[in-house]
Amino acid sequence: MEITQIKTIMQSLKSNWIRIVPTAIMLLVIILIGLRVPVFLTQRNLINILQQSASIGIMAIGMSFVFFVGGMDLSVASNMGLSGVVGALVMKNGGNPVIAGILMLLVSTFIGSINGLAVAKLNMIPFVVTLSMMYVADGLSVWLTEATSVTGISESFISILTMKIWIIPVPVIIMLFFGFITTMVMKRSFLGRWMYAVGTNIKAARVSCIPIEKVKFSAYLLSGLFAGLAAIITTARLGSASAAIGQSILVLDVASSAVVGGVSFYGGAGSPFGAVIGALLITLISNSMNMLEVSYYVTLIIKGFVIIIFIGLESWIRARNQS
Amino acid sequence: MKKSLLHLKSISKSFPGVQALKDVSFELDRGEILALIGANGAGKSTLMNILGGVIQKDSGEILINGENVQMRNPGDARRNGIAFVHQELTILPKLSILDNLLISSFPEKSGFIKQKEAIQTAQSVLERVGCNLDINMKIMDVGPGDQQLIEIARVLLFDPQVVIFDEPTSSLSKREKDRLFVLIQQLKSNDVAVIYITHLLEEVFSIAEKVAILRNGELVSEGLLKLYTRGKIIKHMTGAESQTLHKKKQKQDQPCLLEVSGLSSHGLLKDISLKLYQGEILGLWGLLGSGRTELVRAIVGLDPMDAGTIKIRIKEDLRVVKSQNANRWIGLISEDRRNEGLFVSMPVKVNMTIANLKAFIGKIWPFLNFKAEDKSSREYVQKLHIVLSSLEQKIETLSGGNQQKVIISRWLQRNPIIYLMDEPIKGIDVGAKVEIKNLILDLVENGAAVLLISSEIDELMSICDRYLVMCRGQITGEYPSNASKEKLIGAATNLLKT
Repeated sequence: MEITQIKTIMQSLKSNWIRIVPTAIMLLVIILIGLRVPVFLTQRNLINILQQSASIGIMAIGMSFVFFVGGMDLSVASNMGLSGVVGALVMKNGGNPVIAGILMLLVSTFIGSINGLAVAKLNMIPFVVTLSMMYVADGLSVWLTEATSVTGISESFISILTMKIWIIPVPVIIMLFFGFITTMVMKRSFLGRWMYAVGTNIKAARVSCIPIEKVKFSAYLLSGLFAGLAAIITTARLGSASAAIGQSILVLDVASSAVVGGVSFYGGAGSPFGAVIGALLITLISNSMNMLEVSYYVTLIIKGFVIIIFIGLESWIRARNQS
Repeated sequence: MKKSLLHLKSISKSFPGVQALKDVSFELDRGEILALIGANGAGKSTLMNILGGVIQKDSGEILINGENVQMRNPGDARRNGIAFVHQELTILPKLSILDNLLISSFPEKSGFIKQKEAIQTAQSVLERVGCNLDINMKIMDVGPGDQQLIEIARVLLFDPQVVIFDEPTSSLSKREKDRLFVLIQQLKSNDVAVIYITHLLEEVFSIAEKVAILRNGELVSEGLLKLYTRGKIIKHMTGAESQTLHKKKQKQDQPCLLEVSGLSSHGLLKDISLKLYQGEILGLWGLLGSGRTELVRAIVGLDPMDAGTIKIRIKEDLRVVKSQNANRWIGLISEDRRNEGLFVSMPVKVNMTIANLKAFIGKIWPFLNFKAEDKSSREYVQKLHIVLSSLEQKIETLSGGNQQKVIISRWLQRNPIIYLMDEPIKGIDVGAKVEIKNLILDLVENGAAVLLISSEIDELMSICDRYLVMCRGQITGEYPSNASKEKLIGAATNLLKT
């Protein structure tokens, strides 16, 4: 018994090595960059990186639910932009910041649930549905703001959400908190188990009496909800909202955070907390390139390659596990 | 000394926690047919996958014509004249027969297919296997028997010296099976060696001349088939005398648990009515394509139905139930274990409890109680004698029989009153078959009702209390448990005779 236990531990170490090594190499490279550019490793910059990653990380938590059931949500970033705009407009017109916050969550959850209905109930293809929803949300935000930036956000709203507890900014705490909670929920709740099962084998899930429609629906709904949470944080950090905060390229950062964090693109594997770690890595790349004064476009190229490497690794692991 | 065509020497292979093969050696000569038999998990597939270059051996040698060869990948195997006809068809359904045959070996000239030559090659090889279909037909319009022939034809394109058949008859009708056997005899007369993997002992006796029996990764016995009896083979496979069924007499006047009336579904099923009583095993017999699988799927709402009602006994009363909701009272064991049963990349435990998760949730704390889940899973592992090294093991690493037991235990945990079992003992070894049949008998003894589909009529007849026979989407006869085999087969093949 003991020997087999040791063997299984060795086995899991072995398979995790493949995940740990590239992450470690990346951290090493970043430290080397830090030695070249001293500003990089200062407490201030590191906290700044954490702060920047919060919004992406929170959206990546939501996106990971959709990935678990084998789906895709391209509308998260635009959805975040739209709810940010709605909340900002409410506060600009003297609305209560708490109500504005709740409204942001409601708007994004509503958009998420439309995605969910279309995919789960009407069996539409996630890619097409959420791509269209991305246009809808983008269009709505521009129309509502008349393509300007909405300012006049309540001071208390900003100050609470940009506060620091010890040295850690509140948004980072929110991200880590929800990353942890949702990971526990995925592991320990039957909804979580059902999501993994649906993403692993939807036919077998149907035969096993799993309510597939509800499971898929809740994944898209949760994705929307977390987009709303990201909207709250983003509007507070910027002190304003515009259609541009949800620019569609952001969805790539979100999706790649999830994938780099080990959430399987094919469904059925990974954890929301992994997606948070992924968001940190993705932000680290952007920030360190910025520090090295590498141009934005070169940063995009490097980011793209890093993501391809991670996805390639995942496919390689899958292939190895199967033989 | 004469060199044999194929010589496996002390092949060993271990997977994490399991010694899959231990020091296995045997020889095979030109024109010989060897039956490789063994229980599930005995190591047959592992051995053949090593030979086919799909996985790598840990130690040992493979000699072909006396020369040591390395099988690093399936390409190596092909170059060394070893061909593998897989159990699960590896066919591209939307492409034509021609494309499927030549997909990896189109005759070409600077990237363009030489059409004439391709057609010629395809037609000649199809002729060889006795398949006379139009080569432009799409595979999805071809029946399973012909698909199997096409698969074999594809393998023959490379002029193999050794052909391995892995359970080739599991989806074939009697006629198709005969055709396959003729083909194998032809291969033999062309000096090709054949390795035939099977669970069905009748087939072994009708085709093979040598037999090799594996048990727990070791070669326990090998030799000329005429030196063996059925009983002796079973003894070698299981390591014990074959188990017996503990069948009991059915009680009279039991209530009806499931009543289906007038069920129809676009051309596949026509006006089907049946009753299933408590404590009975109702055998549903029919050939492939008779609509038996479609019927059970329609009952639990997996396939649509156009007309008909389903009544289920709920609280002492037969009530009409929508088919989408019927699976609350009905456990379905699907014929397609891999695609509709298993969550392959997930642990055994998850696979066991997935249909009954709500039982492991506390009243106040709405999360899964892992301890209760473990305990319940361990109970069923013991009860069903499932062989595994850990509950956290991925289910794909278990043998077929053990995977099936996990799926059955998934339903046992949920404990429905009605079970629909579509080929529950297909592709499972003799020992596990008896165990699963005993399990079914226990279920009905405890008040459940079972509708059982099996292509193996002898297996079906060994436990059923009553039979329904289907043909072309209709029920063509009902027979008591003492009906003769001829009657059942007759009713399944002839619509007029009811």
